[in-house]
Amino acid sequence: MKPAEEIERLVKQISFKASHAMDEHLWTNIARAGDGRTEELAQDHRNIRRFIMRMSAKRIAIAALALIGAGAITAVGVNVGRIYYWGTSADGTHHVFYTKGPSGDGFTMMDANGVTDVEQTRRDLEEMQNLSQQGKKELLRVEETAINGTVDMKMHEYKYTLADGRTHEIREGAKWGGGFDDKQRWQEWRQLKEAGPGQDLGTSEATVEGRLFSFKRAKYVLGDGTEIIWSVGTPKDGQ
Amino acid sequence: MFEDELLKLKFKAGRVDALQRIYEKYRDYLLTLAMALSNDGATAEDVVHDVFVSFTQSGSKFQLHGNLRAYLATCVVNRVRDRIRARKRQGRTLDEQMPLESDFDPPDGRILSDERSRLVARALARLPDEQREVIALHLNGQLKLREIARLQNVPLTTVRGRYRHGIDRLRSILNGRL
Repeated sequence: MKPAEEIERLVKQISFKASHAMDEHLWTNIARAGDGRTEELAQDHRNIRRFIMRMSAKRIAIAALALIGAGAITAVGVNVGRIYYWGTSADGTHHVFYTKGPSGDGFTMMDANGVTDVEQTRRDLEEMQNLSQQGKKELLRVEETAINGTVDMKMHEYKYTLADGRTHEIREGAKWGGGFDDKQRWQEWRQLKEAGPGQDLGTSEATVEGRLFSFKRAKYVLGDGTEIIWSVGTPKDGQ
Repeated sequence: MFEDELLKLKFKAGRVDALQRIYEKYRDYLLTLAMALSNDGATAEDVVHDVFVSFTQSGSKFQLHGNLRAYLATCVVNRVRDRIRARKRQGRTLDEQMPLESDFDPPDGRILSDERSRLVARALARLPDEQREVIALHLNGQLKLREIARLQNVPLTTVRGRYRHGIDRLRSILNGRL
């Protein structure tokens, strides 16, 4: 008789994949059920977005105050998206603002302790979005996370100087590949990072948004053999 | 998890690209789960189709504070249960559909990885519904036993018992056949 573990392994191996024909059939019906919303797909695909999500404290650890998006905020246009106040995050530690505008929809999350005036913060975010569209922001730091050789996550930290002289530093997501959707993987990597600096892979230089950055790289290896390389870049001229 | 939260928000806002990503991400997972639960390719396809169509139609009314994958898995379980009940009303059971060892190959469009998997899927079909559900949800659906207890509305100890008895029974059914 097979041991229970072997049976469990065999059951886990059951895999049922959709063929191309089945896939096409399924998706056609699903898209039809969406009342023609598929048309939005093509239009939306190239939209520039900024996202941050309502999430639990653990999840916030992933992106801190990042704006996760599919591209830099480089849209040219006179119409600046309107930013609305959404409310607080599920755990009450962050304020969430919702962007709706020509450059795409998005979410921005601000540390609840740092927001003393919601309306002022909302106006600041609109001003920052405007500045961003004009390219008036300073790139302070770049973070890249590669999983098994492929860059999975990229964050840019920018400094904005508002009209009244106040400055805001904010992290904007340039890429989220989904490699850390696995909660266990994310937690293990976090623990490794907290435990020590990782294997030093030295430094390298690269130009980001027209500025020369020096990247310090460190390697972490998870229990399942996944290799993670974490690079942090700072401007060479700022050192 | 991070991506799923974003997908939920985008989907609620009516974004078709979010729906498409959800579909691509969970299609095979849900098909596998539906197959493990029903042991029938056509049923699995129909169930996943119905789940996604219903999900799509929920549109802006969609409200989910929990895990998207677990939610979709629950939808699949409920629909498979409905189909199994309907089959039983017609006097058919899952294991009567097919002998354990068979030359049957699923028709085009339904690809179950290999003969071993087919054999195991057929053995699963011979289990009582509750045991099969626990095993499929835990091993194929990657749900925790605690989550399954909530879904089945029974104590955790009952779920553990169903799992253990189910595995023992599978060992017995598959003994000497693999």
